[in-house]
Amino acid sequence: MNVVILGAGRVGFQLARQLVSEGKQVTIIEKEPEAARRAADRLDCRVVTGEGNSLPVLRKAGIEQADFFVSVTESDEINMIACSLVAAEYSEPVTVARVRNVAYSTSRMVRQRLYGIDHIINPEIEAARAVIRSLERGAVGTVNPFSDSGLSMTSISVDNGCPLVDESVRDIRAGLSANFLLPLIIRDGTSLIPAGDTVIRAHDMLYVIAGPEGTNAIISAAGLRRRELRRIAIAGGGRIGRYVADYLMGREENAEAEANTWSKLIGRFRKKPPGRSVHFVERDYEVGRQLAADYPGALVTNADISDEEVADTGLLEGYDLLVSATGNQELNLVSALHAKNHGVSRTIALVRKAAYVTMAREMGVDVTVSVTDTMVDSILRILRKGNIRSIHTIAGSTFEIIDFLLDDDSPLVSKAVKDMKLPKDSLILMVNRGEEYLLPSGDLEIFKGDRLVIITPRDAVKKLEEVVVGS
Amino acid sequence: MIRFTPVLHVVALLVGIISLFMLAPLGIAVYNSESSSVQAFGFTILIAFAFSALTWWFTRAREGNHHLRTREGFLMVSLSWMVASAVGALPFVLSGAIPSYTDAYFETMSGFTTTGASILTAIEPLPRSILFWRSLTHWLGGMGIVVLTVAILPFLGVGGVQLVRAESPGPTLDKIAPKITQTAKILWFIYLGLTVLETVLLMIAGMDLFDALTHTFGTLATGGFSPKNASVGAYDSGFIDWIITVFMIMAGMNFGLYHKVLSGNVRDIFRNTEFKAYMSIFIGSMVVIAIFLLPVYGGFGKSLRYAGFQAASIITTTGYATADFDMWPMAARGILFFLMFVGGCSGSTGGGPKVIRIVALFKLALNEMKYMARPRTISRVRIDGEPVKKDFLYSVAGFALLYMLCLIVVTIVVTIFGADLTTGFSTALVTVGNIGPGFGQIGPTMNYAFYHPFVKWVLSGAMLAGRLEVYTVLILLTPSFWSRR
Repeated sequence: MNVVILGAGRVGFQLARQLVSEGKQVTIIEKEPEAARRAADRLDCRVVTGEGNSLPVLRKAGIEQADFFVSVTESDEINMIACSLVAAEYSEPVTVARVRNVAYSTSRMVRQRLYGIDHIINPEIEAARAVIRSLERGAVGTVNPFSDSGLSMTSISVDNGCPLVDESVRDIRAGLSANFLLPLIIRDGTSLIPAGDTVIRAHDMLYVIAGPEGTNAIISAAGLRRRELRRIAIAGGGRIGRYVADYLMGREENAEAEANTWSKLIGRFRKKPPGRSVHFVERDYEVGRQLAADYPGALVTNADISDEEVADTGLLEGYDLLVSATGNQELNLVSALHAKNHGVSRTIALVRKAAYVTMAREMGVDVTVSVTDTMVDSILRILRKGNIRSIHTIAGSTFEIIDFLLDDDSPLVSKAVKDMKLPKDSLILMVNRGEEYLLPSGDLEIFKGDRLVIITPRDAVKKLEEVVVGS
Repeated sequence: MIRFTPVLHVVALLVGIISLFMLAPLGIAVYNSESSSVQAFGFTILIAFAFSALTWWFTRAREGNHHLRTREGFLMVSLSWMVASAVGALPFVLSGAIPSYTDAYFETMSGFTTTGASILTAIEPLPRSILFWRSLTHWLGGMGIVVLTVAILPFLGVGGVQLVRAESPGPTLDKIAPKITQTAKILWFIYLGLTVLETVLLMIAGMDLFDALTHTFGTLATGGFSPKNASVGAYDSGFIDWIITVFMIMAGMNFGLYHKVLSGNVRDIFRNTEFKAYMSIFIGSMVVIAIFLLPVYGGFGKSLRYAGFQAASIITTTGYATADFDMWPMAARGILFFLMFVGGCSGSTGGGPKVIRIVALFKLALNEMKYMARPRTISRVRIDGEPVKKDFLYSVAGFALLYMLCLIVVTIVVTIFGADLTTGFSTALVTVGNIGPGFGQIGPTMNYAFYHPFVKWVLSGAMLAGRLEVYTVLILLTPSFWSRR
């Protein structure tokens, strides 16, 4: 696969690193010589210095041979124009643009032929979605959905007092009625694929794949009481904070109901979902005024979340959740910790650097959402060949979990699990057939239309793809 | 610097328009062969028209344009109303209907400002042409004589916006069309349409054309002059009462809303904070008063009819009466007293402080309490679902203070001349609020004739200040307005 990436910022760089490690052909276009040099030094890919919205530069980057063109510069307009330019000149590459402005990314304009952008990804919306997914599971860990299966992968950190400590995986499984998978444990910074007799230790990070009941069962087994998050504070009134608030206050539904007077009338008689109160803490007075204008039901406080005053005046006392979503990632981590010490039950912090995710977990922040990671994940989902439904990069781990859909061409069809030649350390976690979820035994035969959930080391992703998809 | 020539130029035009409208009562006078009135109107029209034409000629622009600047606009609007009343008072004096010029000026100002306060003790013996002119001043003043001028004379152009704003009721001016002349025309057409509708309905209910027309003028302008001594009560008809009640309430609504309904935006009405507050206050007061009136009138239907009529008459600042509400139980009077502090909606023909300002002040006060409880909270006052600007709240707060100031000054003046406090304060309330009848010596069956001439001049000023929303008149009293810089 041949990918041209425009922009070697944080997202562009991480995306390139991921693709390179999977053995893909990557070319980066970057206009800043310094950033270009850094990318060239650290990544095994081609780097072209120049403006992305120029055809000669694009040609130099080999756009004619590219399968994908991903534009992730800081500017929405450059991303859109570059994609349109590529789409207008070459029919082959699939174009992906990062567009922050919601007015652009939701408008029909970008679906027109003139613009020719195949996929639009909004980093803040992706991050807000990750926050919301986690929030809906009680904010005990990061939650990733398994495409449309209804399953999700949740991370659970085990601390000293956790009832799971010193229990073996087999015992835990026996003690719970609901089904779940435990594909991966991160212990002291190294990844470990647990067997039945693996014993859980304090400070482990467990990755659990399960349906809603399974997830809830293991969360309560881990002593993490799953509570309704009703009183929610959001630090920072930026885009992510606003999207989360939109969701919590049911804005999206309202927007739809607005279109139809009837449904609005009927909606009045419908039972409303449990009320959630939103409290914005915003440092900038003018931004706060705008928030107060846009969110009539929300409480807006003009304060710096890191100020001692916030804790002293008991501003966040008794809150169920703090989502720290300011533009400053270090502040987000610190204020999340601070809030935990001052009576906030759960915290979600937004960060950019992937390295902070691991660090935050060790410090005791319940959930850390990396804006860069969620963004890169979304782009990767597009770049994977069509029958890979989703892929889950586990921060701080060398493993990935991939969800394959098998079609006719797959060499695995009609084979038994034991006869498959998977790369080293790769393991089939689960087979999804119709409504059923099967735990694979060696004799299980795989059919067309099955979905396989496979865990594999990152450097074996390409090999695994060849085994599963063929070619 | 304020230039007087362009101001006089526009005032001259306005006097010309007023004198043209006097052709209608002149026609009635001729038709009814009322010789003294024919002479009075004929003479007034001649003088006014001559004055208008001469002033207009001598003040025409010799070079450059004649656009009014902001300050000149305020002066011109206030001056227009004073001159219009001065000219409008002439037929009353000349025909001998109201011998004293002070009384005639008071009556005319009361007419143009749609107050409806009268110095007449016996109304019915007066010539019909005079009574018609008395009601017509309501109709002209209701939608605003400057708005009328802007609608008729489009060449006032851009400067018109400020003029209309200086005259239009309420803190904000909704421009319902991109051009102010277009806006003024739409408003006047709606006004005209409602006039025809109500006249027809009243005639169906049994009035003759003259009575129907004069009562329509009084209703839609929220004025309150009636050609009957006993006001609308003279007909003692439930049908007429309800028609007038409904049209009073309609006249107290923002005319911009009619335009929205006519262009298909029905839902906007239910999102309009002021409309909702107005209707809630009206319906609530009507029902509560009706309950208090049960012992007086017996049946609930009859109580509701009298309560609804009077509540509508007071909240819209019309001032019609079907009963002597000063004799009602104290609790019912208390609610009417409260309604005198409310007034109609912005952009209506009603007077008073306006519902929107009351709502805004309440919300502002609630907001302050939120700030006191949580000093670092940011909270916004919302009207129609949208947050309002600080400037708006400042202007409303300033208005409230100035309005109170006007009430206090008038109360003091009236009490100095011997009135008791109830009479004095209600006089202030009903003149500044453009309502008409009040409590005590100026109750619905009484009149203003007994006041000292000086008080009548002060009250004329109070009515004007109230009609022009206080700021437009009081600004003329500030030194900075007249300063050359």
